[in-house]
Amino acid sequence: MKHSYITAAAVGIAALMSTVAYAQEVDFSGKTIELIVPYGEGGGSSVHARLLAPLLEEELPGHPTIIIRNIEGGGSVRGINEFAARAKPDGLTIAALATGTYYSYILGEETVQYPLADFIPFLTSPYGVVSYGLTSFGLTGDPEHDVKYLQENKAVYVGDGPADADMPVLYCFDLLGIKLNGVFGVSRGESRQAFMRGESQVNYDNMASWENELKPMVDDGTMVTLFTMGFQNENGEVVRDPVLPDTATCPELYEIVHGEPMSGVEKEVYENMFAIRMVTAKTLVLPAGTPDDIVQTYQAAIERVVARPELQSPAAQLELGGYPQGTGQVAIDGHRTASVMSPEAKAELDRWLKDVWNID
Amino acid sequence: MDLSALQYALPALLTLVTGPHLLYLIFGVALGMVFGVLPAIGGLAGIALVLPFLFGMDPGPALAMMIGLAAVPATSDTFSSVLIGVPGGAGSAATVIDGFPMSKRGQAARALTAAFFSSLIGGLFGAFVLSFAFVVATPILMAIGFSEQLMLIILALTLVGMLTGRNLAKGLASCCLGLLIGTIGAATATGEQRFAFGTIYLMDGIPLVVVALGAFALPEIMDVLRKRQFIAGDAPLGHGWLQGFRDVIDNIWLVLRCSGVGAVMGMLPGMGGGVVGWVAYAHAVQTAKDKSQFGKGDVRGVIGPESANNAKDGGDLIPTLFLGVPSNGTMALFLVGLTVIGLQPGRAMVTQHQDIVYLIIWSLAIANILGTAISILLARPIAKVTAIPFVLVAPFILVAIFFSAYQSKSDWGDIISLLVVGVVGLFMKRFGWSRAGLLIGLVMSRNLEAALYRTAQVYGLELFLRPLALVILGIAALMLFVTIRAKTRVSSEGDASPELSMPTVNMQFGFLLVLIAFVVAIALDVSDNTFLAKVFPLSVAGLALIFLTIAGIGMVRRSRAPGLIFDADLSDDPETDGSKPLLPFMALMAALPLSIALLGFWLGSVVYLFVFLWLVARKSILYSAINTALLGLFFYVMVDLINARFAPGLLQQLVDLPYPLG
Repeated sequence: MKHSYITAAAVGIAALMSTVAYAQEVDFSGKTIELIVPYGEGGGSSVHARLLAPLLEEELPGHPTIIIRNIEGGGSVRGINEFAARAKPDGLTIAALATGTYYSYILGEETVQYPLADFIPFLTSPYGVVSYGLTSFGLTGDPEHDVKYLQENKAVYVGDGPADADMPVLYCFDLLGIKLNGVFGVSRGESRQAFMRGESQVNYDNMASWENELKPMVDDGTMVTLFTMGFQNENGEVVRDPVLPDTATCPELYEIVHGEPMSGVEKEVYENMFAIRMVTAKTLVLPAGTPDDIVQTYQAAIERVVARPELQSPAAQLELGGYPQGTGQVAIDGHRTASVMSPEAKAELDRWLKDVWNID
Repeated sequence: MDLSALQYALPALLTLVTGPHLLYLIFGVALGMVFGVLPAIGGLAGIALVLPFLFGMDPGPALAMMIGLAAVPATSDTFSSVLIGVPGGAGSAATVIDGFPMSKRGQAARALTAAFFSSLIGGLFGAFVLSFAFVVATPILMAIGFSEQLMLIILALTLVGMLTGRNLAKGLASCCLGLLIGTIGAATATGEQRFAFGTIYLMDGIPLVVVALGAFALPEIMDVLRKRQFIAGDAPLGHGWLQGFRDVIDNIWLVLRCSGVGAVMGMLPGMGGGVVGWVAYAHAVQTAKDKSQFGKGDVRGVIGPESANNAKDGGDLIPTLFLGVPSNGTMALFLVGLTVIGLQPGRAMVTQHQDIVYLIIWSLAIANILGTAISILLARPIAKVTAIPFVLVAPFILVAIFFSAYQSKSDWGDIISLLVVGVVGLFMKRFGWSRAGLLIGLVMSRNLEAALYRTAQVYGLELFLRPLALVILGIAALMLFVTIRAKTRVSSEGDASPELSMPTVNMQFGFLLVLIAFVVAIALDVSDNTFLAKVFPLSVAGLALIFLTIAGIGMVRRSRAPGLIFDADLSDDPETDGSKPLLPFMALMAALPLSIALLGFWLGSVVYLFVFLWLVARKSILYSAINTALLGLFFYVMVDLINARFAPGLLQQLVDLPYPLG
């Protein structure tokens, strides 16, 4: 009897010791963690990182200081190259990836020196995408009519560029048989202004601007939505975006136009882009080779961050688009799909860039 | 016009002056002062610094603090522009042109007071414009399409045509060189790389502020080091505080016009803040009856850009607040700050948060008043720098410039670019090539190319069916006519007659050949690109070659055209008597980056300063050591404060050193 008491006490002490040991193992007390954001101070990635960093500081063991280091250049290549070259796998350097990081990697740009697939993600933030067009150009909001109308009347599109963040939306337009007159090298904010001035007739935005900027223009009849990229539900199926349940997805329109669902290499490219643009629109990663205990510490911390009341505030929800945040295995799976592309799909993407947009 | 929003004005003012708002505003202003005084570090670094603390703050105080931070650097950066000839930022390089010569004449006090008071009026003007922007901003912004943006850029270019220096061909060539440097990096239309040699550094182009520091600050420092003992020469520090105030009153219409220019240019899309000061300066020159003193220390050359730069802040806020489109980096961070405190800029701002907008407007106004008051209080002690032997000041300035330049991209490319531009700028100044023209070209290059391409793509020839575009084009034509007829041209490169300059004509011709080689190299590099990526750089390169050839033929023929054969070192200006040879001073300048390359920035700059003070300035070891220690401490704190970085050197590559050594 006495024996079992002692055993129980020993087990109890051992358990206590092990948690103490665990806490000692990963403890960021007095440490400074550098979060590399590969874009400028005002970009979406920077907003996203600055929204999350203070909460992550509080949830990581030892309450470290997180400083955000904006390293711009070459799309996002310079910052992430530096991350890959410099970050030690000790959890003290982390990075924010954005869609551009994936595109530069997949398109095989010469400057890319980072092993994208080896990074260990602990948060993926999805952002929906909606494309829309001007009613004064002749668009009505009836998808069948609008697609046909755009096939027959070439619209002006103002944006970043087909090899940049605009790629998925422009690929969609092409899948629907719509040719556009592209004007490139223009930021999202400026593009929307050009659209409001009527200089472009179709445009797109991510859902963060829906409530404040886009919805009023739909309400007053200036514009109609054309399609969304869709949304991936828990079963992995692409369904309508929860923000805009009345707007068709790109694959739905494809079926209307072609009479059959998207298939083959086109489907593969679409899914890959979907993963990049929607599932991993903003991703936070640890460097390759980070030990499991550190990874688990981050995973647990970010789960608590995502559940924090601050992130449920209307402003934060606007910034996160109201989408469920991907943590744990969801983040790992999403990142894997987004960073690997089959040779066939890559060839199709290269062909598309060359044939439609004359880009090698 | 629906002015019902004005009812929110008074309650917002009451909110601001009661409660914690004012304290936060004062804190923001104080911080903004510090960041503005440091060359090339401004509101951007300040807002980045306070952003993490905004979480959980009330919107009102947070806004007051951010506005204080964003508004004041445009006032306080005048110190370095006027007193030591180092542009406080790319936008305030125009202030250097007349501000620094005024300091050299011993009129630093007058220049500073005039600058601060015109800044104050400009800032208040900007706030005033912002309060009416509710009603008019959206229709105006909707009328300015790509074609109108193009015409506005052309208008700005014709305006600043006044600043091409004494010789038109050389001035235009300088401007084309600036335009060409601006094309380095990814092409707007296609994203193709131009003249980047596969380096990521050049892919995004050379930062404007690095060129501003290299072209203006480094040559001025070298010149003062070679030619003078004190910045203010033999002239006493001078009083002139009242005189500066009187200058502003006498030129009040100029102040108001330039404020208008600043506010409007801040508001309009597609222009960029860097050009505002130049346009205001050009306007001041153009409307002055006696132009002879510009470039040599005319107070109107300080008043114009300073009022415009501050008025621009109010204008900048218009697209940021009402459209959610930030007009520059500082405004982009300001947007982030708004989001953090739960405010969504855009339409909702105008319809639902008028009280907040008025809080911003009042904060802007009060921040400007506070900033001016503090600047005037600080002016006397800080102005004494012009009376300290320059050899003691110069090494600090050099280290500060290299530090500031490195903060733009945190890349060794920043330091190399700074040095290259500095050496080229040195010869441009000496041989009478317009550095203002170079900088203006660079400021305009990206916008001009983008606007040309967008207009061609969207409108084509229908451009000429747009009435507003035609009106602006008409004004531009008028300006061009005025510019061509103008007899005096402003030059910040000094005076020298062709006769006196003749001995070094071969060297001058050699420098011209170097410029030609650069133009040809860029032209050859881009010729492999697609049409859209090369049409702009090739056209500019063609123009540059024409102007360079005209200047070259003139030199070969020993033409007596004003400013063509020119060597500032051979002028009859008494200042140049006793000037020391150039080469040792260039070596002295290059020794700093060399030391940094070996030892890393912190150790390298500290060692450089010590050696400079001890061996060049011939101060005691103790004096040198104390000053060196203070500088080391200062950088240590700065790095902690603004998250700045030190350039690594060879030493850091070989051994892993603890901070701040590593």
